[in-house]
Amino acid sequence: MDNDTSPLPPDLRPPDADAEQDYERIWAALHRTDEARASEYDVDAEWTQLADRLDLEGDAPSAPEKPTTDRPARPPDQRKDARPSRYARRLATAVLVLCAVVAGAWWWQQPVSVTTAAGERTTITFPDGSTAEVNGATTLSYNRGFQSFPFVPASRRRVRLTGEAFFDVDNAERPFHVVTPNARIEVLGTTFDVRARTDDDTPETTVALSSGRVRLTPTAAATSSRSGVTLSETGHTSRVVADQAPTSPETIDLKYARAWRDGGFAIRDAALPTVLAELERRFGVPLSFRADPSETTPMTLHYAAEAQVEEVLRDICVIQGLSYRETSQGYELVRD
Amino acid sequence: MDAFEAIFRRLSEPVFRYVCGMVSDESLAHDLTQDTFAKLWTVRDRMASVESLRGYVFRMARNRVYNQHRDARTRRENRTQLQKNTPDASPPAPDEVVDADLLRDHLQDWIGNLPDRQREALTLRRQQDLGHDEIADLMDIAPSTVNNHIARALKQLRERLHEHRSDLRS
Repeated sequence: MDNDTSPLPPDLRPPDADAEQDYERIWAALHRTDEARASEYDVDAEWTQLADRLDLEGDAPSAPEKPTTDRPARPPDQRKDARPSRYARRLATAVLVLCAVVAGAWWWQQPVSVTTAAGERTTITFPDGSTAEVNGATTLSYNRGFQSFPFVPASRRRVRLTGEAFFDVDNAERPFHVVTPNARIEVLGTTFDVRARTDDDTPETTVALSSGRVRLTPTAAATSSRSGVTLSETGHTSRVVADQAPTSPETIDLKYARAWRDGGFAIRDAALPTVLAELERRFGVPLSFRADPSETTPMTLHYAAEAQVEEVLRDICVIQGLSYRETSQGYELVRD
Repeated sequence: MDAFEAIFRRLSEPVFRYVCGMVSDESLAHDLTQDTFAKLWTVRDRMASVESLRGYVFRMARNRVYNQHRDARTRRENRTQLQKNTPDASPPAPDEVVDADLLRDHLQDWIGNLPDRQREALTLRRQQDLGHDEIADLMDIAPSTVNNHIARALKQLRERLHEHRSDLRS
């Protein structure tokens, strides 16, 4: 827009006429500043700089975010100059992309649900910019746009979780809640891990805080009004089992909570059936155990990164005096 | 990748002007704008469906800005106290009409001293890129609250203007 004057919008006019002239003058001055900034902004230069930074020049394949993933070798540096003649065609593409996205707005009302299979991991970006890294056999759902109605922001951002995810919640004017089968976690700008698993019909929610502050409350009516626990220090962990009150925060080395995100595996002080269930979810491989679980002892395991399921099974067998063998789909543990 | 470039060419300047209105210096605004699009590029495969790309990108920029405020903990631009001690190098002659460019410079200072959300609402409203509802959505508040912020911001700016004028006359 190249108009020299940009008048004060009518709905911003002050009640008295004296003020109006001042407001007009202020508005005009602000407009001139905007115009000055706009004319100084060189989008070609900015694009070149960004493209360099992201390595978009040449035929580079799209770069994955995790550095541990293999990348095919890129062709040697091929700087291409700005191509203004192709801009029109690209703009047409972009307009199509933007139209398609905006036109699809009618379905925003449906809740979005993401489910990972056992052994699968992924990252979700929420409409407000917060992210969640998601472990295997997990379902996470939320209202599209965190809204219940169009253009009416919901009073809080709510995510339902069964499974495990690591949340990074961006600056929050609205509360951000994670709801599990038996508990609720309230957060405000922070990073934390939530593990909500239901084994043998007993739901269990465990929260480990990486940074910031969260509050964990069971959702069972009998206990929720009295018991909620605030985690405020790095490493603080608390657990809600079924309907019970959350355990007092203990500080745990966060390496256990973060192992799965680095491709590893960790579990603390757990009975063998629990460990096997967790391994199944993490690696997507059916595991069975043919013996009496009461003859086994609780274990703590930690593999910092890139664990293999056989490696873990081998160690378990050493600890518990068992052996394992392959079955048609997975593995089976037996007592010798 | 072509689509990403086109999105950048279309949205980066509006985002830049928005971020300029929110942070104290322009080179920081350049960085934060670039950061926003860099992040958009890295999450492009994992974006859950969004109802408005423009709103989504503005929201990402907003998060960058507020994270920046939080990390840097520089609150000097954001004090709500009046600053009566803005010294001028040499005060202009008393009969001089307030020079337009001088006013712009002062305005930038005064805007810097407004509360974050007033400044933000004022910035967004001046741009034609987002509608009233989209602004309210971006700021997580009701449209009427947006207007309240703007009204208060303009009122404050006018008061500063008056003080400035009476300083000139004295």
